Amino acid sequence: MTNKDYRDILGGLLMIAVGLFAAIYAQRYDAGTLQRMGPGFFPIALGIILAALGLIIMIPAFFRKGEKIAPNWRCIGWVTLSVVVFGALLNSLGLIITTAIMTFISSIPGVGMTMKSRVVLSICIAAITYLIFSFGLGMIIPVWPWSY
Amino acid sequence: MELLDSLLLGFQSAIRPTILMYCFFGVFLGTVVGVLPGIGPLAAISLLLPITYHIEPTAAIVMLAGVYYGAEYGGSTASILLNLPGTAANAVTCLDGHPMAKNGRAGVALFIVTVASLFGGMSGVLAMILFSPAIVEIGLSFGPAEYFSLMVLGLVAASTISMGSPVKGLAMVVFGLLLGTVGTDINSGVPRFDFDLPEMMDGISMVALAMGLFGISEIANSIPLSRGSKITEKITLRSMLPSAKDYKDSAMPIVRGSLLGCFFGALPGTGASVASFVSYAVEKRVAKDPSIFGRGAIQGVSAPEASNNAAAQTAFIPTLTLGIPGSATMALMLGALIIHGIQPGPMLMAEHPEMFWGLIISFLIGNIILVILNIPLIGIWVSLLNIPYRFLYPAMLVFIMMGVYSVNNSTFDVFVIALIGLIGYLLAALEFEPAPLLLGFILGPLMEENLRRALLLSRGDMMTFIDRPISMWILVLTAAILIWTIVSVIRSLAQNKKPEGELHEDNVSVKNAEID
Repeated sequence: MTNKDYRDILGGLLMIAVGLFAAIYAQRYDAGTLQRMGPGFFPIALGIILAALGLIIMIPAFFRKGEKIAPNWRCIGWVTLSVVVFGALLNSLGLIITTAIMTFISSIPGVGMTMKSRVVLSICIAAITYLIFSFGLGMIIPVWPWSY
Repeated sequence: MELLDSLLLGFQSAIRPTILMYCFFGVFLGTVVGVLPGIGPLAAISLLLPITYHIEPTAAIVMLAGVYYGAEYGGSTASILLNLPGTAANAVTCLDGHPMAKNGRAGVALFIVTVASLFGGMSGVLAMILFSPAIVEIGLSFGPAEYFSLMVLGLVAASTISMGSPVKGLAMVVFGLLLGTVGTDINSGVPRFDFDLPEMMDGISMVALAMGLFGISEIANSIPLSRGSKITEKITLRSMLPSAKDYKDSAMPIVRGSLLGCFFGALPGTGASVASFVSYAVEKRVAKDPSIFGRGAIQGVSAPEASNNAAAQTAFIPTLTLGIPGSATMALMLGALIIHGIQPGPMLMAEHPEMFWGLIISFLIGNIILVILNIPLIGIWVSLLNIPYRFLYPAMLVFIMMGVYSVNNSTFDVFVIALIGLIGYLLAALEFEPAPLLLGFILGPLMEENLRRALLLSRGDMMTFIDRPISMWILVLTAAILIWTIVSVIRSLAQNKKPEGELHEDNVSVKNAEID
């Protein structure tokens, strides 16, 4: 337990930030009048509402005990990295190699996996993916680094 | 009789081999997704969206719907056998389902929930058949002001009634609405929030948002939850047959559950989850001996399962008749229809009757297929559940990648989904529910359009929302919900507790589950 509810303070702050950003950034779009709403009207209004809600979330949190914020950085970190790697390498290395690499990286936080099992898993999933998507569904996607 | 003609039309439409095939595929996939904890119908539906681009709209919606109500059949399997809910609505089934399994009655539990699900599903379909035409009539008199107010009601209800702090729920809705404004504004052609990136001209991809929030974020959360026990019981067909007493005990709970489910499913903001929780609570209150609950009472398993299946069917009523989705999942279905160029709303029944009634008949067919899948083929699902999660989730991630990439053949979307997954995970760590965000995102453009039109028609007069009677009553209801929420928030703040939503079941772990 922490002596202030940091979870909600942070959450509220985040909402305020997003709301203010939207409301201020959207000023560049013509807000128009009520009768003829311009592109800026909705975003500005929503931004203000969101910032207000953020304030409502944040202020009571100062007076309240809260739980510790405990994101599992290891899990989300490797998973996100594997996705980014997929996006970065797909067009250069092709489907099979990229899928294998991605599977390997994403399996790192898996409970009870040895290096060998990760490699085996990566190969299997790469093969299955090729069979289902490239062969089975006929998706146009570079398979090997030298494709297209 | 006109109804009979419509049903016949639907039957002709649904019996076509293509439709039957996609129906089967949908309910099969739905069962798989329902059985597996950690991935739910919402993720599966968004994964299938790109595939639906290439098939005819009726087949697409039949398949997606099959995933949705199919998941409610399969979800109880993991609840009973592993005490892990397959979908949020099945969380309640764990309470009495798992004790039944521990008492050696797993087979009976699995059988009864399938029967209950069938009854509930059929009741839902009946409700759809009986009430949809009437609702469409009312809907035809709706103007943009009514639609706008109805969407406001839906969003407010969805964010305040579900789990978690209602204020945070509302914040997520507004955040979602804001994200919906990203992209080219239809009315003026002005690209909004595009940061000069050409890929942003079409806005954030619906698939990327849904998959990022409910796929990547869910998976990252589920990895550390190691599933302890492997399922060792052999479920034979004979062990599944319930006794006469079981049937007798379950009869009224199933009926009550179905009625509750039909009601809650059709309301915006409530769905299968609320229906199942309420149904369990009702059974407990109505029972002659409430102490049997939590220890393997068959009523605690049959009532919620009947209600969640009924709710899954009636959830389609507002979406198909009025074009108002009651939940994030329904919003995705709506999105799928729009992508195919079909405008959901009261005109849908008139303009595409073969699709409307074909879908309803496909529900009947789908429910029957599901009974076959869930009883004789229960062995498949048990072995599926025995695959360790650590092998399963990388495959799921890869499938998500393929789904997102295939929409635009664009790796930009892959980066977007990575970012959204990260943000979604962090928001969940801060206890912000993701479902209201998706709902707001999909409804955002529709709401803005209706607001704009309403104000245009009224020449800038904001009072139009109150002057028109239907709109006024809808807003009154919305205000009532808001006031009641504010009161309970203030009350919990006064006690210096955290404000929580209605559904805070402390004895069931439904962390980050998809609230339909």
